[in-house]
Amino acid sequence: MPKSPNDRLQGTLDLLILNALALSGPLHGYGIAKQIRERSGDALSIEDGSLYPAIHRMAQEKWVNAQWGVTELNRPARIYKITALGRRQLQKEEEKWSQLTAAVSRVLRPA
Amino acid sequence: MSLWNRLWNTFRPSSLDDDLAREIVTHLAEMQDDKVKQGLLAPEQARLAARMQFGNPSSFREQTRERNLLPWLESMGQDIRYTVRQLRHSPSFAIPTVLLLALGIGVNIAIFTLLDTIVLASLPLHDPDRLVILLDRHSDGGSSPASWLDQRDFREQNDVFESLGAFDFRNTVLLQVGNETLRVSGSYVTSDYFATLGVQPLAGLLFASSEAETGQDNVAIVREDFWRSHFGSDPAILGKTISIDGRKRTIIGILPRSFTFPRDNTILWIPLVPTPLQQADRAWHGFPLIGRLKTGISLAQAYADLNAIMLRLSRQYPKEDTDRTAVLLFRLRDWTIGQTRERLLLLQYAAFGIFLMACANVSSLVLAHYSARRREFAMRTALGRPASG
Repeated sequence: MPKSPNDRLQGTLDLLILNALALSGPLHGYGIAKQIRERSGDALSIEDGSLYPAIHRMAQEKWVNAQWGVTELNRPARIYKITALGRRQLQKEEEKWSQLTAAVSRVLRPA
Repeated sequence: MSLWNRLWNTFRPSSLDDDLAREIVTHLAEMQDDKVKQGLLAPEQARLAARMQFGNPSSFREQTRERNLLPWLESMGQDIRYTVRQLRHSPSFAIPTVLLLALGIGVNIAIFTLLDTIVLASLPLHDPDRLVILLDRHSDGGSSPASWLDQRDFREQNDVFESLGAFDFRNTVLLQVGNETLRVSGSYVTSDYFATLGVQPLAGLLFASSEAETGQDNVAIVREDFWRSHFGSDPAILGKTISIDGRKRTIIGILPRSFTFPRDNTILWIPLVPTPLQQADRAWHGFPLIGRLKTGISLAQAYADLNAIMLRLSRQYPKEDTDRTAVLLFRLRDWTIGQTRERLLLLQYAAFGIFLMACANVSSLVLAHYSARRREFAMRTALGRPASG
């Protein structure tokens, strides 16, 4: 399948979501958004809603699996959990990310 | 992600949508609670802030749904365009491949169509599986038609047939239409013959039992295709007189073209009236019988009943029915198809063989084509294009 132009961005969102799930265990949608926001120190301004198309796609790729459950406040929510496949994907995305940032840093600050 | 999933999401978005809507409600509520708990905002302000931070829910719902099919359709379109372009580039590959596959598939379809019509399709008769042909079986393994008198005894003594018809072994008649004399396939049949087969005339009548008597039997039935070719589809054919084997007969009915019994090419039916000799002589074996088994009677049950009758007859008339101690039954389907079936099956296997050869040829073409394109792939890679872009 051809990659669409905003693949890099999509990949970054995937990376953030997978990372949140890998570090914190199973989370519902709002939990993921909160994790990302808190860990970034509110610096990443992602609309919370954009998580859903992404995580839905990831569920179909079997990187995460989803099960209905409840939040701490007893509200119905889907709880997402990272799968083994998801962990592999996370590793790949992390590698790509560090290559990219390293390359961009080299460009910005030539040694 | 499977195609099935994508299509499911596209055409049955409601459950996906419901799930998502519920998730979003929870998401907004949780966020609102958090903001109130942090003590920064009043509930109403918190609700608005949560909505702002979330973005437009319906647009995300749309995205979730679209994301499922659009990229796939796009990439398929691209693949098709690419394929067409490639095939145009190398006609020396494309044309033989298309021709080979067309030949292989075409031959198979042609033969299968034939097989389907002749062997697999059911006979154009009412409940054809209950129809059987009945012959005498000789002790040396051979078989022959029944005699007229045996036929009468079978009819009177059997418990397995709903009805039993007979036709004459002879098959050709001389037909005079106007000044033209034709040799055609015509069959002498009893009045029970049509009732047993369960066929309805296209127009006119079938033989009544009174027409099976000498003097009443100057009638005939023609088949639709013969009516069309030799009488120009004349609707006034019923009541016309033709001369068959030198005897004038009135046409009383037309049978549909699909009716092919006793033979494929039979186009004329005449009432079977046994001659005095045939009526008297049990040794005149000239009448194959066709019976319709009663519902629920198996071939084995029919054999038991009819073998008993035949055995009795051979003891009763040792001179005429010598060695005829049993009967031979087979389903009408097997009689009409007979060896054709096996030949057609053989043909179908051959056609399948041709198809396999076509496939083998295409695969070697593909291999050759690929080797020839390795340079192109290398070039594409070197220039930074994907191999299939």
